[in-house]
Amino acid sequence: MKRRKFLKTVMGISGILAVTPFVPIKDYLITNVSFEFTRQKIGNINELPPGSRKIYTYPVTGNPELDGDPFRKFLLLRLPDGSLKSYSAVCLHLWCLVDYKSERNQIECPCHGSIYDPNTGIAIRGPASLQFNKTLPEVKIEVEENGDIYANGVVGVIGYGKEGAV
Amino acid sequence: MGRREQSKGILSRLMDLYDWVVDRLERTVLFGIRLVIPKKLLSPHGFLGMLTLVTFIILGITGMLLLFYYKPSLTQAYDTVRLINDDVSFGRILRNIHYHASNAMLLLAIYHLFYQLFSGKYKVKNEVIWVTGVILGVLTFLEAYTGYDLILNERAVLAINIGASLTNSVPVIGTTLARVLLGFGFSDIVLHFYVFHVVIIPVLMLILLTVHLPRNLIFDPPMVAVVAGAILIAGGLFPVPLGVKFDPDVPPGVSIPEWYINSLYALIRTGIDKFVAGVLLPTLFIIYFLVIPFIDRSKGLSWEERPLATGLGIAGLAQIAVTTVWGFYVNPDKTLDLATRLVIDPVLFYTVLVLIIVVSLLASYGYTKYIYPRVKMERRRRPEPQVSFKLTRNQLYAILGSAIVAQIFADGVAFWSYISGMADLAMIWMGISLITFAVIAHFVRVGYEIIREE
Repeated sequence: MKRRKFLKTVMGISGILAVTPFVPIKDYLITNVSFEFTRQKIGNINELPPGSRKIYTYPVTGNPELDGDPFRKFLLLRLPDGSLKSYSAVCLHLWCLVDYKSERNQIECPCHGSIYDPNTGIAIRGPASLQFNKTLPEVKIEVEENGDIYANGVVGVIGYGKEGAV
Repeated sequence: MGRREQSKGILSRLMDLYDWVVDRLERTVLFGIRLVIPKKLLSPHGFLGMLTLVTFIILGITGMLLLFYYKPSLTQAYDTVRLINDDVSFGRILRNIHYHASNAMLLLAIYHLFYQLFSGKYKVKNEVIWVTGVILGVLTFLEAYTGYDLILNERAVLAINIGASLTNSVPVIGTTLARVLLGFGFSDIVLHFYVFHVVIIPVLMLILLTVHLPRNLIFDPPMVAVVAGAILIAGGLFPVPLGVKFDPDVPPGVSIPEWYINSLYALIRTGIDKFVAGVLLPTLFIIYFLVIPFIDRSKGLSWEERPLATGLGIAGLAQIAVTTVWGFYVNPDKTLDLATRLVIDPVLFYTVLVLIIVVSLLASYGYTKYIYPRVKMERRRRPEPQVSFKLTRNQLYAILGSAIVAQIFADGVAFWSYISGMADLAMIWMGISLITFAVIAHFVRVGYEIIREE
């Protein structure tokens, strides 16, 4: 009986060893190959007076089907104090597109009323503020001397927040 | 009572749960199938069908995964395949498994068909299994054909052209049929082939499987692992290229399709009427296989006692081989124009095909009549040699131990190659790991035998 058990164990170990090289298949399932966050011009500071916003597509592929993806929509904010901020426009609650309301100086979601602080991207009120993931992914911004604004990478995972950066 | 419950370990509780589930599953159709796991090394001839089914399952799993990235659109089809092949982690491995499993499935299906034919398996009330098997074979061919067109490279478009022109060549209904099957324009063709490849043909195959699979199925883990391992090793050694992206403005030049449609390609290139060469003759060929059980009235089951079926079988096999090889031939003289270079002399070609039938039948009747009686006598005189050699327990443990070490090594190399970005090498070692598993599974079975005898 003992020997049978031994043989069974050997076969079990070998079976596990035969399938383990397939484990990296997880990379196949979670890759987001079509999103290459390379450096891209997204606007000029002179077109954005303080207290205004621009919606832009990033990264642009030229393929309308891909470029229409809400996950490629971003907000470029010029806050009243003149500083620049840029966040993913995808609400962390249920993936509606959020917008900046300059009269109240806050980012608002039209679907369920989540409200984000434009200085930090953190949800301060509404359903998104009650989640674990509540900070909008932020775009790294670079401003050239002539005022051209460039996006160069995203911190966090779009739709999942900065916290969910896997 | 309560105390006894507490003394139960987690493992025995899990076993109880397993028994509970199995008891309930006994009421389902699942238990109508009897899965036999052989206790000895058997010739795979007896379960070639099961091996074909295993490749079908491998194709199903890898195919479904490929759908996560593939887009059936004229502009994106090639690019998404390239994305899978070059950019997505593990994509190259999945694509190569899918491709080589399709070749393996076709080869195994052909092998399965001819083994059953020569051993007369369709005789013992298996006519329905035989007929559905032939139809499944045709569907397997169509599945492979629609699959390799999905990449939309030059080679794929050549095959699409062949398929489209053959459909069009059918008298009266041809053009209507083409509009139904292919849609209108290349954009539709991609989408239609996609629908056929991932839904319609596989579903038809699954339905036919219910009346093709026998109730007793032989599932041999070592042999299954060998087939899977061989597919991986083939994928690593001969990774399928991407080919040149189809561009309607650029003439593709001479290109040879996949081996399994080379027969068709050769037939069409003989220059006789396209419908006769590319549709009628292949259909006749399929019908010829469908009716074999009904014209083979011989008593015996052995191929040696059934000259008609054996002759027809050999002829079919030889015709497939000859036309396939002929399909690779293109006149190398580049001073000639393309149309001339591609032509295959019809008189020679069809004479050879007819001669194959005549020669095969003469040979098989001759064998049965003149040679077989003598062979039979000789066999009776000589008793079957008894080969027996026994492993000792220590030898067995040595084999198992070294095989496990080898497998750990193979896994290590596979992981290292994968991480270093050498997917092809990783595939080879993944295959070796699977084949090592086959060796271990076989010797574990030998071990059981030793224990039983002691």
